Amino acid sequence: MASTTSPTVASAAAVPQRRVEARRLTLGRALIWLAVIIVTLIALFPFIYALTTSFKTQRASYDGTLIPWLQYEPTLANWQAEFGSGGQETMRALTNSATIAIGATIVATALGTLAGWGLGRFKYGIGNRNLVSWFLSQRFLPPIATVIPFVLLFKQLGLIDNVLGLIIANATFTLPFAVLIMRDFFADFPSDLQDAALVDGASQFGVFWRVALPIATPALVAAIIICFAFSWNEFLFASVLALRNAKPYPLMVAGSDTVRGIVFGFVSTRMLIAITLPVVLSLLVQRYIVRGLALGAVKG
Amino acid sequence: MLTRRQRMLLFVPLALLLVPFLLLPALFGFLTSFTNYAPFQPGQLVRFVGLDNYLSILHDDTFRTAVRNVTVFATASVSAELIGGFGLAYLLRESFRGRSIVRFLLLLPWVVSPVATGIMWHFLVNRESGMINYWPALLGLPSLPYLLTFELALPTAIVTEIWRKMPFVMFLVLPGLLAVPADQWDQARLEGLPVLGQIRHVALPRLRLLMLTITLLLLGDALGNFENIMMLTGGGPGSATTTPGFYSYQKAFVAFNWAAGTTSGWFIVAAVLLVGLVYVIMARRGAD
Repeated sequence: MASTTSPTVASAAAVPQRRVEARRLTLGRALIWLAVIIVTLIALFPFIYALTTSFKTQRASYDGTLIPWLQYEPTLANWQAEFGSGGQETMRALTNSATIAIGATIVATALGTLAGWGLGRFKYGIGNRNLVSWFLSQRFLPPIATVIPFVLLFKQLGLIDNVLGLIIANATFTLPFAVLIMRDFFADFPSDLQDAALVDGASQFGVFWRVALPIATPALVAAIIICFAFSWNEFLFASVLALRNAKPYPLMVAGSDTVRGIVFGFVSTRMLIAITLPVVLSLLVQRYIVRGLALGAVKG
Repeated sequence: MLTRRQRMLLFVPLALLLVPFLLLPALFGFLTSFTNYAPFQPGQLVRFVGLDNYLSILHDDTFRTAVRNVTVFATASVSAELIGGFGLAYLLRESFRGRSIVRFLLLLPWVVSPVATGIMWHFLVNRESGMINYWPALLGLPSLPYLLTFELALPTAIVTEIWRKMPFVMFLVLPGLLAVPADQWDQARLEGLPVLGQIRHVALPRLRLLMLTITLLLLGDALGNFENIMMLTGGGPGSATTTPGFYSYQKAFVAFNWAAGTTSGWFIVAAVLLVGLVYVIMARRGAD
């Protein structure tokens, strides 16, 4: 935002010109700043409102007020209920979510990295491009289209209301992402190091485990984050496949209506709890998300 | 080089997961959509009914409304998201203090689950608890109309979807935009092109594949949209915001109409595959 420094020697004509430029510079940038601030506020607004509402009493939550202490009396009741009396249910749902997400992520990234390394490094008879296109099509496929036969199959297998069932479901759904991200990375990455290791006498598996994987850490992190975030937020399969025991957290968020009608205080607290993890994760690995998504996007 | 057998082996674990848990169920669903198979009503003789299921769905008014809804929804939201997201990225081109914070904050609407955001928006705009009544009254303005009426529900859903996805588009476009070498921008400016012209000639050609992929991602999501709408409006009022995705869920898990649920699901699949095909064609054409 700083304007140019004043010159030691300036002709009479140059000075007004530079002053005009400096002013235009500031005005343009100020406008941009304003636009950015407005957009950011719009993006954040529902979250701010949820934060406020989580501290409101049941009655006040219908008000639409915003500023604590000024407009309403803040209360910790909702939070206490969530972790206190409702604590057990909350903890179990959160544990379920975590288990499912971790399990699905491990499966998806492990399987996906293997396949991705193969696809990126070597040629396949069917045609690498065709395989990639197939995985791509999976990526854009909305889960609603496959959930119904899924349910039936799981019922046969006895995997309904079972954490394992949800792990499988989420792994299946996030696998294409993992494959694509890892494949893009390996396809781009020069193979000199890997070839050199081969020459040095390492086995193929040794090359994969000790050379390829460590290099691929950024892409691996991206894949892990994406798989985890998707599984953590996943709702459709959870609502259909989990009834009581295996309920993950998104179900709790949605099920915040009671006999008294939707208790917005609870909705807000649960929602804020639910989003904490993805927010923290994305904060930690912002760079990797960009790389991971952009890699998949740019290379198609 | 790996032997052919070794290469195939790499895919075995993946196949172990996908074949039984994705391909087979999908195949099963596809086949049964041509029968009157009804797992929730035992004791019926399974008959082959050809295209009856598909036809009856097409005749269902609710489904047609759903298709119309989702078309409007997808077209409006995806275009706005692309333009807005690109515009946002353009705004953020110049580095400034705190830009990475802004980028992170703007990613939040997308990172958070659609269930959560759907609920948030629901109680922001509904009549009982919405802010739309309080604040205008406070400022002495007439209160805004209730946003979840029959006419306004779909536009509201579109707006919330744009809110959710536009920053995400920005997030994806920005690295690509920044990768454009500065001299190309300078040259365009020297040639006297207006801002829009600069964008058209400098940025878009390079970003073609990226924009194409983003569009496909957005479209696929919009066509199958489910969680967002379910939380926001529950598909209503009436069928004002019902989408094929919602329709399919309703039929299968609320009305226990397996045939309708699966068949409508395949319509969605067909639509997405079509879009994907267009993408592949356009992507390959550009690459040559």
